[in-house]
Formats: sequence, C-alpha cells, structure tokens
Amino acid sequence: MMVMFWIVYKFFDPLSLESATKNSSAQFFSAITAPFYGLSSPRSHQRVAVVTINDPTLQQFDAALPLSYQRQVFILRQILEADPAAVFVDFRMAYEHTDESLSLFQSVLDEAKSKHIPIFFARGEEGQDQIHLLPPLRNVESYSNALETSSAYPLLFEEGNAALKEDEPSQEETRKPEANAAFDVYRSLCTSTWSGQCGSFHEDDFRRPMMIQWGLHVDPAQTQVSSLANSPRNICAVPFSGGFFCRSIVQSFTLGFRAFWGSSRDYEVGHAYYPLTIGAHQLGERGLGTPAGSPPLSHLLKGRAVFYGTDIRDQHDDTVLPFLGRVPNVVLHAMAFDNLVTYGNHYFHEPSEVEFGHGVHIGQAEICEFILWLIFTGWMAFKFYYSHPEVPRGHGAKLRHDIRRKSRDFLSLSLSVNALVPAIFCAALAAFDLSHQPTLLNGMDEALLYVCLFLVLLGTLVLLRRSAQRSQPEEAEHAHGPEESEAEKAEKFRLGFWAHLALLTSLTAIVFALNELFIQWPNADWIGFILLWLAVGESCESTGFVLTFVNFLNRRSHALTSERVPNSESSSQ
Amino acid sequence: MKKILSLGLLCTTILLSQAQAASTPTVSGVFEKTVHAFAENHAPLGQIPASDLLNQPVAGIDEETGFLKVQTPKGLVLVARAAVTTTMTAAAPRETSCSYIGTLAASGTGSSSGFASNCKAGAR
Repeated sequence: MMVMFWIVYKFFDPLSLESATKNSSAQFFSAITAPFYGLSSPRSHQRVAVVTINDPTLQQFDAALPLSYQRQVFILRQILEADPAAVFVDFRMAYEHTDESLSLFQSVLDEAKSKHIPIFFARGEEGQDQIHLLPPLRNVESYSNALETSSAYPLLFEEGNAALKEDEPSQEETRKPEANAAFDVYRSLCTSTWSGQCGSFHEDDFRRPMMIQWGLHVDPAQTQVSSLANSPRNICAVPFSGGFFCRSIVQSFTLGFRAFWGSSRDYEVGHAYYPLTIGAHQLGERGLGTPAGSPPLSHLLKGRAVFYGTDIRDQHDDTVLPFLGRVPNVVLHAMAFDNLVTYGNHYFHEPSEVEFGHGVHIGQAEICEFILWLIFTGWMAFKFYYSHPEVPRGHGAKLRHDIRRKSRDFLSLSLSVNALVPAIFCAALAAFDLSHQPTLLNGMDEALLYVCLFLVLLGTLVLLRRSAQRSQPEEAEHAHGPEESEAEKAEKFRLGFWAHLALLTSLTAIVFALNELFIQWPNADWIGFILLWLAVGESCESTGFVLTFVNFLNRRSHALTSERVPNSESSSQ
Repeated sequence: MKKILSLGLLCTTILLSQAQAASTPTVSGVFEKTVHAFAENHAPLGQIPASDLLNQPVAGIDEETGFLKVQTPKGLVLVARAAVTTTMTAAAPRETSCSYIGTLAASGTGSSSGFASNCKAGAR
C-alpha cells in the first residue's frame, strides 16, 4: 500500500504535489550551491563572455531591433578583431531583410575562417520545425534551445529528432550530430584549438541534458564594464573580495535561509550575471576608471568564447530560473558553456532512463527512489508487524529484537565513540572532495561544509540517544503491564518529533553531499521523496492520513488481515 | 605677367581647397536608412535620410552631448556618433559611460535586467 502511495505521488502528481515540491526546493538548492560555483576552478569565468544588445546599446546606436545587417557585421567585426576563441550569434536570421542581403555576412565568415575562429549562428529551437538559415549562414547554423520542461539544457539532439531533411545535400551524411549552442561551441574548440585543455573528448559523454549550475560571482573584469553599486548583493559579487559575510559558506547559509522561507522572491534580491557581460556599444570604449590610452573593452574578449545576443527588457528571449529569476537566453547559453569548461564531462545532468519496451521508460532516479522507498516502507512495516505481542515469535521477531538491541547498544556508548562514525564519514568525503579540486582557493569554505555536515549528524545522534534513553524505562515498565491499545503501542515506536526531523535533515544532508560529489543528479528530484518519507512517520498513528488512506484501500482485504494480525480493528480506526 | 600670376593664384587656391577637403573628415557610412538628427541647440529634427549624411563633412563634436556635428546641404545637424562611420582618424578609446551591472530579477514576473545606464550622480 505504501508503494502504491509512492506511485500515486510520483507519477500521478495529485495537486502537483511532486512538481511543486521540486520547483520550490530547486530554489533552495540553487541558493545554497550558487555561492560555491566556479570558485575551485581556475578556468571558470576566464573562457566565456557575453556581448549584448541592450537598452543603452540601442540608445547609443540610435537604432531599434532588428538591427540592420550592416550594424551586425560591424559589431561582429569588432568582436573578431579581439581574437576570441569562438563566437555564437544568438540572432535568428532565418529570413532576409527586404533591403539587405545576408551575403553581407560573408566577409565576417571569411575573416573568422582566416583566423581559425569557429562561428555559429542561431537556427532556433530544435523540434520546432525550424527552417535552415539561408546561405551563407547555412553551414554555420546551430540550435539555440533554452531549458526543457525538466529544467535541463539539451546538449546533443537525438539523431531521430534532428534527422536530416529530405532536401539536405548528400555530403552532409558525414555531419556531426546536431548540437545546442553551448555544446557546438565547446565541441568545435575541444576538437581544434583547445584540444589540449579539454582532455580526452568523447562526444557520447555529453548526451545527457545538462542541469546548469549557476554562480553568483561576477567576472573580476566586470568592474571595468559596469558599476556594481546598485545592489547590496553585488558587494560580494567579485570573487574572494569583501569580508566575512561575503565568504561563500556564509552566503550559502544566508541565501539558503532566505530561500527556505520563500523570502528570496523579493525584487531586491538581485544577482549579477556570472559570465563577463559587455554591451555592444562599449566594445570600442575603454574601461571604467582606466587611464587614457588604455585599450578598448573589446580586448577582454581575447581567447574567450563570445556569446552575442540580446538583453532587452521584456523581450521574449529569456528564461526564468529558480532563485535567480529571469535571465536572457544568451547568458543561459554562456553559462551552459561555462559549466562545460568547469566540469568537463562530469557536468550535472539528468539521470539516464531505462527503456522497458512499449515506449515505457523510467529514469534511474525514479528507480533509485523506488528501491529506497521499498527499503524504508519495508522496514516500517516490519517494525510495525513484529511489535505486536500476539504475533507468533519466529525469525522475524528475533531479527527485529536483535537490530533493536544492537542499535540501543550503539547509542548507549559514550557520545565521543558514537561521534566517530559521522566524523570518519565526513572526513572521508572532505578528503575525496578536496583532493579532486583543481585549486584550493576556496578550500577553507569547502572544508567547513563538511564540518557543518558533521554537526548535523552529531545533533541527530544526540536526539536519537535521548529518544532511546527515554523509551527504555517506558518499555520495561510496560513489559508486564496491562494490555495496551494498538494506538498506544504504535505511538511508542515513533521517534520523538525533533529526532524524526533531525533524522530527515541528516538524510537530506548526506544525500546532498553524496549527490554533489558522485551522482550529480538534480538535487530537487529527490527532495520530494525525502519529504514523502516524512509522511511515513505518521503511518503508525491511528488517526494519521497515511494509515487512513491505507485502511480505506485495504478494507476489502480486512478479513484476511484480521486472521494474520489479531486485534487489527483498533488499528483501523 | 598679371595673367600668369592670376593663374598661379587660382591654381594655389584650388590645390589648397582640395587639400583642405581631403583633410576634412566626412561621413563614410550609415547603418540604418534614417538617422535621428538634432539642431545645434539640441532641438530634435526628427529622422533624416541616410543619404543626406553620406559623404558630408564632419564639422566637429558637440562637447555637451558627444554627438557629431555634420554639415548637410540643409544645415548643421547633430547625430549620434555610433549611428554613422566617418573618415576621422581613430581616436584613443574614450572611457565607457557608467552603467549599473545588470542584476537578475528574482521574481519570475520581473523583467530581465539589461544594463541600466546613468549611475547615480557623482559615480562615473
């Protein structure tokens, strides 16, 4: 019945309980992880930049969208002159202007080719029957999908979906699989100028859609481009600047606290874009506060992959992200690229799916949840069944008694001995994590995370010890006492409220740490499952929702249950 | 003799004016079909055709707005510097104007950021 409860919750999603939990918990996880993003990677930030057409740009150019091709060519030439690593143009030029020809871009393509700079032009979203771009842009087109409904960013598209059209020339049989903007740029660099930096690059390692991790810090060069003085949050925007309150662990706690209580929805809680972002009108100007004669800001683009697109207020080219809010899609592509540079093929991704035939496929995360759910609920049912005094003694009762005695024995040891287990666990995780960091610039804050994990586990141990100590004399007192009601009996086997809550918190913290280090699935996927387990706690309550629900479904088999478990009437009240 | 002197003077005048014309920067290109123009006193003149500006001499730069002064057949007009290209010798890059960094609007209903220009007074 509990398994059925899980299936209803997971797959039928009544009142969007599962999806709503995912969305709100995604905000919380973004808040606590974002302050750490990129701080341990020497390559993050340095390889990406965004050039935008924004409101001040239009004002300075005395222009409106769509920009003329002449203007676009002028800007792209400015970008190419700065010797970027690659360029992605996030303007979909599917149709030609009436008074201009796309052939104007040929000079840009020629210049990029002569400088060995990969350049791509957005074709639009894959799967939306987007037409190909017109020549000469046809051969440099790339998809520009934003996030899917699962919040994942697709990197590669299945060949079936992105099948070559009938009118495609036959020589394109040798074409690489269709890719999204960030991956097309990454792939082109890793197979050419960056081949030494990407390690061994295998395209198949990137088939799973990416769960983009966001950072809160700006590129240090951003201060040359714009002022950071407009938001209190931006005081901490430059990495490793500011005081104690700007340390990533402190930010993680404060932002996590706000997100936990939903107060992050304020308009004021703004954060700057992670990648270096320059307005197109600023490319020919020198930086803020730089002395006369300094090079123009375009020189900051040298060696970076440049994503060029729009950041216009209220335009339909943005994505709403948990906790961070609206982000222009050109920044989204740039951030996905930064994730690839930072994590390589160990990027955060959607769990793979297992195909069961007949079009049925279930994600590995669901399978993993199901197994854990079976274990938890099986344990609950086992405890509940063998707790009844009239259940015949046998292997099960003995096993339950042994487990209980061993756990009590463990909890009755001194606290310092108990604390050794979480201490060793946390130390092992910290050692693994820190030894895999390319740089230990943020090592202190990373290490403090594991200290926090240890404290959470220690707190849970203390509560469990108190709970065990409290139930021991009660059990002895009632061992030969009068017959207890089923509800009283069940109540006795519940942990105290705080112990139960602490156990859940510990479980969340452990799974979070293991997921961040090894599995790298979206954190929000399993938080609903943890919360569902909270409901299991009340399954022993005679008036609880779970038991009522189960009893309702179980009414038909009531007679059979009565035969196996005497006095079951009282439990179904 | 007088005739020879007059001819020499005429030639010199022509050569000098040619040299001056060559050194005077002109508008070499325009990105859009029309350009917003302003009078010398900054009064808006509406949009003028790009053809009115092409190859016209640049008379200087308006100190107050940074706009280009272009001498057109219809008179002197001010246009945005980035709206046209000129034959002027490339000057050293000027300092970018102070703009606030774009911040992400946390609310899903808020608009996206963009750079917000015009930092508060005193912060350039």
